[in-house]
Amino acid sequence: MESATTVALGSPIPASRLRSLQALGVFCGFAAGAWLGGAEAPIKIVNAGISPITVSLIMVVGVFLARWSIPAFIRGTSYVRSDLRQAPHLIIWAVLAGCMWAVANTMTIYAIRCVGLSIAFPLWNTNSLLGIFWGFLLFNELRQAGWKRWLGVLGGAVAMFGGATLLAFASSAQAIPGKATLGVIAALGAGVLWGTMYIPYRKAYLSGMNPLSFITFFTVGELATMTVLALSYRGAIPLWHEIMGARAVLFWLMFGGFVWVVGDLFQQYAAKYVGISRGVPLSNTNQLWGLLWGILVFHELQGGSQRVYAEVIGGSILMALGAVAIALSSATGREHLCWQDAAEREGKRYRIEGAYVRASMEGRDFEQSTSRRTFIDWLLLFGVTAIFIAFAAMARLPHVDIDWKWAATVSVAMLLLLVGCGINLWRTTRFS
Amino acid sequence: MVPNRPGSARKLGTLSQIAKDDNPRRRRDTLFITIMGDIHFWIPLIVLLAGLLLLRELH
Repeated sequence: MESATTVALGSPIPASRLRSLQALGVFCGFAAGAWLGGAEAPIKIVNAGISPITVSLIMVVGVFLARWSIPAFIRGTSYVRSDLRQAPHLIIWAVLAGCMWAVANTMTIYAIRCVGLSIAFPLWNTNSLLGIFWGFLLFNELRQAGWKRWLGVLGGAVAMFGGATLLAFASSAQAIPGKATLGVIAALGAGVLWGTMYIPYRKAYLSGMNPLSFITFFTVGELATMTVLALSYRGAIPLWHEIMGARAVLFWLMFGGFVWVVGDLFQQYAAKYVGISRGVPLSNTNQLWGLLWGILVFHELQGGSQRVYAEVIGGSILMALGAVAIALSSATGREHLCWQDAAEREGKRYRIEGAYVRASMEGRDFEQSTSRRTFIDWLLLFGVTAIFIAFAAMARLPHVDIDWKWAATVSVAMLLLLVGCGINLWRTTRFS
Repeated sequence: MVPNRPGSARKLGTLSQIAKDDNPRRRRDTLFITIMGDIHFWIPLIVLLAGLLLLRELH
């Protein structure tokens, strides 16, 4: 008798369906860039004397709350449970990826301290080049893609790296003498960790897992690692005093984490539908959005020299061109068949039902009846909302020069992307 | 026939037998062995451990 896992994935997905999934993935990549970049805004207004590790920990608490409540809101936790029953081994991968994220994020703090954002940012942005490498080596991405697509993806990623370098130099800070090497190593280390973190991402999505399920366990690794790091570096009592002393700004940090999760969710869908070789560079456009917030809303770079403005304009154009090149190099039917081979390999190795993997690759639900919201979902939603309201009630807006008109304009642009991409995801895949 | 005792994951038969196996402990054992034999697991794990060591040096 034939095993469930031997159900063939080899028959190609219809070309029209493939095109709409690829377009959706590209859209998600751009939406991810906007929301990941926008997450910097609430953090920028926090100018109190809080240590970077504590800032990171509080953000991760907001991230944790968002990562459990958003899936509950969209499809319900019963959907997550039924997804995990199909591929339980992916919990380990999700937790592992979360641990990697937390360590990389902490490393960036050291990198910024030692060499400044100007050098550190482009260095850790090399994660997209590593993502392309792992995607090609382990998951058959860009196989049989043709030289034009190779040129589009690799050339686009290199152009984005160049653009990122120019943008970062425009918002430069000074390196601490004698610490430059350490800072460069820290930034590269963060890039390697983030770039390798995409292996679990791709693994999960090739095996059929839903991004909503992946992130709920990803965040367990994130919060556990960040808590251990904060406790060991700060100590429990000093950490507690620091958090208590910063009560008035905790909301903004947690809100930054919440916004970040929305961006990351789009990034996960991009990784699922266009692969890590394309999804990761596209979501790296977050640097452009961060700059937009900085210049328009927070009046950064005001009174800068002509050279600075030239770097900003040149860097932005390069990044945008790189992103467009990648967006136009979506996978062909032949390349997608290679992805299906990789998915079949995963399915066989972990005895995942072929129909489940196939349904996921086509952006369909495997089981129709498992997304009903339960009492636990509503409890989660009300609980998280109540926590955010409580912290908002304690919050004070620090004295920062903010252009509210531009803040509203950029926020509306982000919301439009959220609604547009959300509707598209629902119509095309029902968030599967 | 599928052997029905714990710790016998290595001795299981065909994939279809394993897929139908409803012994949770044995399924967990099989999964654990498969994960340990997957290079995709070791690459991120080694990078994570190296990252933790580097972080300690940085601190």
